[in-house]
Amino acid sequence: MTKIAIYIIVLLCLCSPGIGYCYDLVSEIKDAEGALLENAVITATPLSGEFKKPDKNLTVEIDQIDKTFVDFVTPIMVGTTLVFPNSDKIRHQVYSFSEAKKFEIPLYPPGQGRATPVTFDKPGVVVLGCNIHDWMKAYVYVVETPFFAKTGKNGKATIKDIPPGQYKIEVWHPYIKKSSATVKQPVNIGKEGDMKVDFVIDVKKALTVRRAPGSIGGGVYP
Amino acid sequence: MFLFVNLAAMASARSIISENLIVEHRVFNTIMDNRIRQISESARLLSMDYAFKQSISSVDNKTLISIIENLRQRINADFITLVSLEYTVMADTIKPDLSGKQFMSRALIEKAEEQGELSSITIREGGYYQIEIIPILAPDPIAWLVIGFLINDTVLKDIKNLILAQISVFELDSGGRLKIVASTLPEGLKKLLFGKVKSANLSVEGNQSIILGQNEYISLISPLEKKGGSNLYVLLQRSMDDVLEPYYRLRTRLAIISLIGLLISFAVSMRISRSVTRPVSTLVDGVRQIEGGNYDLHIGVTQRDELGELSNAFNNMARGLKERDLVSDLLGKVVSPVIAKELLSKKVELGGEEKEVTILFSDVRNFTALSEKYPPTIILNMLNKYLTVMSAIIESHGGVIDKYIGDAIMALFGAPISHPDDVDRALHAALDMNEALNKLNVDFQSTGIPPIDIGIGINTDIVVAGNMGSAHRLNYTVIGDGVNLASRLEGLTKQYKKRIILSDSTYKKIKDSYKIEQIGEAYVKGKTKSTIIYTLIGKG
Repeated sequence: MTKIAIYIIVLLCLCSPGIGYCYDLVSEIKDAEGALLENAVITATPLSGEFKKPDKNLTVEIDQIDKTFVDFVTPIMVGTTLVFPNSDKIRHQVYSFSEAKKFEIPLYPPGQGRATPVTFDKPGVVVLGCNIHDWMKAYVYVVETPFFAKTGKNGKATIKDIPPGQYKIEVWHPYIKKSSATVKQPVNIGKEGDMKVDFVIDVKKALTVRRAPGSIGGGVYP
Repeated sequence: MFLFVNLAAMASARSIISENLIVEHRVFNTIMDNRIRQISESARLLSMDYAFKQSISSVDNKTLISIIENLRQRINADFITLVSLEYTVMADTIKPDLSGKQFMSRALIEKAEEQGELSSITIREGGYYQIEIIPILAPDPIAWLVIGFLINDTVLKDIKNLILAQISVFELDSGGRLKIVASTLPEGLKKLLFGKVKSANLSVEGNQSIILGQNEYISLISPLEKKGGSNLYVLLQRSMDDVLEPYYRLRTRLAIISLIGLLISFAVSMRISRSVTRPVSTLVDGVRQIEGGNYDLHIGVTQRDELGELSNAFNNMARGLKERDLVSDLLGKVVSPVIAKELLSKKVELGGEEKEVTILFSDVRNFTALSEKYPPTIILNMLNKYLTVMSAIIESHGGVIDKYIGDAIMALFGAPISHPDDVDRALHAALDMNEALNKLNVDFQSTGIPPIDIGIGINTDIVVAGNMGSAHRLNYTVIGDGVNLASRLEGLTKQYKKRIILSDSTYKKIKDSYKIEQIGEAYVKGKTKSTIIYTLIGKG
């Protein structure tokens, strides 16, 4: 997805010759115990509400490998279309009952392009599940800004090429507690501005279905 | 003994019940847990159903209620409530109009969110429910299912069938009052329990004794929900009587058996004692009669044991005593009582001993002439009277009548028993006889019998005293010259015209004082030497 972000930034930078320099925002996310958090999503929303919309439909993919969604967390901008390739040797059925996007792709065979792509047109959290594998779970975080990034194992995320200005910086995590402080604003991004915004958030234990041990029918498609 | 057995049985019953109650308490908790777990497991499986999840997020409220009602019937729960992530009721099987309202306990759902699921106890519409809260995962929770199972008498009865103890569940309200939620106890006992169990009972660790009606119940109280949050307590009880029943049966049987045993042994001992005491009392009665002198009795004890032998011996003894008494009586009449006694007390055998004896001879003068003049009956009457009086006087002075020779009396002083004053006794007897004769003559005259005169000769000498005669017939008597002299002296009284004449040997042995006169000398037949003789006139 960083790829997508960079692509957007590059586009923005290219399409706005008058603006000049863009800046990178680095964020480090920790939990209350000080552990670095992976799979947190950081977003920067211009307070002016103005940003350049992508001029073509974006497409992002969430694969299914060894009965697991890859990636676990996928942040996308509103209007992005998701494709669900199946890299396993068995069929999967992807669904969501989330308000932001309810959909269901009935059992479909392994391979690329066998499932109907789904366009996410509302912001919010969409939890994906597989009808036949209870433990399979993925999060799609649909945001309204093109400026976002996801933390890696080191708990760090970098939003690249943000035009200078006043921004609202927000953090989200699949297991974030409502009590956490998730917003920092205004954050001034520019030559003299803050280029590093860190968050400490509370996360809860995930309610997940345990994967059946030694689950058969595995193996990744070719 | 019964008391000790009773105490031991009670103690053992108590400890058995106590142990059982602890086990049963564990079983009860396990059953209660399993009851909800198993059913909730079914609910969980149903909640995994894709169509179910799908419908929750898509259908209208009425359909939703219908869906969970269907689920409720499938798993046989008492109610199901579907709660949203915002803690509002999405659907409820008891009250459809709860939809959209806040769920009764947000805290319960929050706890379930933390733990993933939750078992607890709650009250709704006055009923007490075990509840299980499980998430509907899609794959994150999209709603919560609250499944409730009523705690009522029926449920407890089902459990009681497995654990046997009486089960009561009650609630301690905020005011410290106890309320019985459900119980397997009969209605009457339930009311009693209400009054008996106080909040103080709740804090008792381990077993306690609660009396309901007539019966003691060993009871174990513990909080129903260990996780807290509810004030429900479970009371397990077992009646002492139930456990002791076999013992009570045994005790009754033992009591009957020992009563019968007691009666039998009483009857047997009565028989035995009667067979012993009856002959014994007969014997005692016999002994008393013998004591009273009745020897004619015969004891009719026919037993063939020691008592029978004793009775036979007793009868023989009575017979022996009778014979002896007869002999003694007769002997006393025939011989002097003193001699009779002497004869009876010693072995009777021929032979004698030398003894100093004072011999008194008395005789009625002219008796032959008298007996010719008067008829024999008068004579005999007179003689008997005379001899009776004289004999009595002699015996009163310790003299012994040796024999009557017609109208003569031969009496001994000093045989068979000697006294130091035998001579004086003889003299006193002679004086008394003299006096008695005067009185007797007055008596005789009034009945037309002529007066009589007597002569008395007294001599003291060493003679041979003993039983004389043949081996089959013998007499106690004395023989010797002294006897002859006494007889001779009596004969001299006629010649000297004196009533009493003593020999010199008697005179020399006198100790008292008397009026005595020497009257001459006398020759005794066969003797060359003469002896001085005296007459006794009176007391000195």
